[in-house]
Amino acid sequence: MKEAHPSLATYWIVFVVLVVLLGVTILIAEIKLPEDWMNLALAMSIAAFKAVLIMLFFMHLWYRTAIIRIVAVAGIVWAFIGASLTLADYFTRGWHEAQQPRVNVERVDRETGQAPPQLPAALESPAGSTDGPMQPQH
Amino acid sequence: MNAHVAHHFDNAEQQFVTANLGMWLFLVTEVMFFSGLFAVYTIYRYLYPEAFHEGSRHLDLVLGTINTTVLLLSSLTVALSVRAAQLNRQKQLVWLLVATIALGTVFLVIKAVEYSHKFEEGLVPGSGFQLRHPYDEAFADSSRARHVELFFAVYFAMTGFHALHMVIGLGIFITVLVLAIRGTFHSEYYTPVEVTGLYWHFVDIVWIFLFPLLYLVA
Repeated sequence: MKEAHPSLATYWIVFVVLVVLLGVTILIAEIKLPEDWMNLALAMSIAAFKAVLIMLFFMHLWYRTAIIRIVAVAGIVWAFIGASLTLADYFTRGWHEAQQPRVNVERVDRETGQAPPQLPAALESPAGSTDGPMQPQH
Repeated sequence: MNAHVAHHFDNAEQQFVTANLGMWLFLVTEVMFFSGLFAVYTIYRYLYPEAFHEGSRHLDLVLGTINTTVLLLSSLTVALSVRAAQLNRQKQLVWLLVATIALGTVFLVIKAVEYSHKFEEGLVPGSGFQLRHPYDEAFADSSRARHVELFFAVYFAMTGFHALHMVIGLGIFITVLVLAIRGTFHSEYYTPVEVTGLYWHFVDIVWIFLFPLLYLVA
């Protein structure tokens, strides 16, 4: 069976680059960039680059037929679609703004501006299932 | 027709590519599995950035860095073992597989040491969770400590599932090693070495993302 594969030098070069990039990842975590998200974006970009190197050479995608490459890329693209839709939902619920636990919040009637008459404790609905958007548990 | 080619394949090459395609399809399902965990991480880090920073300070960066290097090295030995099989170097193949299994074991032992430290320090989510370090003062009040607890829940879930994959990978590699010692593999047939290698590299890639996300929260 004739199968194209990387040379010994290719494997070692990829390994050395991976270790160097690990060092770079640790270094940039120590450096204070203007914004916090920049450190994260940089670290994730380096990790993605390392993943591509491993996939192309250690996992031999570079040498494979088109169908295997398509499957590999489709898997990653699909994961991004799934994650994007999930995160789009969570990030638009306003949870970030509702950071403070809503305990001891004074209840005010919208129409009168007065506190509503007290309900008997037994009729109070359990915490978390009341009006308004769902709150994260604190 | 060679003995190792099943009757429903035209030739060894078609059989090899088919096995590869199957393994990649399985890895796609694994990507789906881990992307769920990464989504959980993203949501909670977005909600409680300070707590994630605080939790990350309790992780051992030295052990984490050593483990990352060990895993990268094991990926190299796996890649080289596939090459050894392709070149009919039986002895080299066996030793590279032994090295891979040894490196994988070193990773799990270091992980176990890290876990035991977390248990001793009371950082395992649950009723016993507590923040004891002097620099934990700002997080002493219970609701903020709960957010750090969330970080550790995510930490144990992600590294735990990663370690589980390592254990499974080691089990498969021990099987491959036995086959290699029996002389099953040669330049015409080394599919199990290749596809097990694909799985191992995938687990390595997962760790490459986990390491900065857990140990290096700036």
